[in-house]
Amino acid sequence: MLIHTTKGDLPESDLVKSIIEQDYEDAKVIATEYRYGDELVRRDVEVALKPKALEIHQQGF
Amino acid sequence: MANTQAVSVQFKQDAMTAILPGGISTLKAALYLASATTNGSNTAYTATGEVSGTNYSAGGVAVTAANAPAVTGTTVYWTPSANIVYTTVTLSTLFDAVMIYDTARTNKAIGVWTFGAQTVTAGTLTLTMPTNDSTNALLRM
Repeated sequence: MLIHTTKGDLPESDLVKSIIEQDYEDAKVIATEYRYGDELVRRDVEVALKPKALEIHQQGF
Repeated sequence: MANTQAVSVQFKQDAMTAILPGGISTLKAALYLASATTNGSNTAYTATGEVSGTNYSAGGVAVTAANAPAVTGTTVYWTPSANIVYTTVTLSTLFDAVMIYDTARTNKAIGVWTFGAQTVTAGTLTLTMPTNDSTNALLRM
């Protein structure tokens, strides 16, 4: 399988793949990195936005 | 029983539906650098602080929004009906926010959402939408 990278399409078998999961206050992030030797040649990011409520403030008399 | 002070759920639904009627196709999503100061005070899309990079067009990408706001109990909620995807982009400078805005209303902003600062290299950025219900939706009033 070929992977599109900064060096063009490379065989997946030539790349080192790592998955980084991060949990932030407002999102969960999964980054998938591909390295060719020591060089980062592709990085995909999936951001799962956490719910954010809009608020309407009502002032009493 | 006692009376209870509250904003009417009908008012909330009418207000949100006026801005986000079902089937709206004029929303866009722009990304902002982590060094920018985009926030709720931004009344409309701005190019200031917006990311730039390979295959990213100023103004961002279209947002699919087939659904109208819904109501459960006293909560009115809405979420785009599809993930927001930036395909095969390279964004080398850290970014951490997205603004959704409406091109049909002079680019007026809907909201700004933040996430951990990221870069993308010859890859795809996917903003996965939460479940569209009264406790998880992207917008809830």
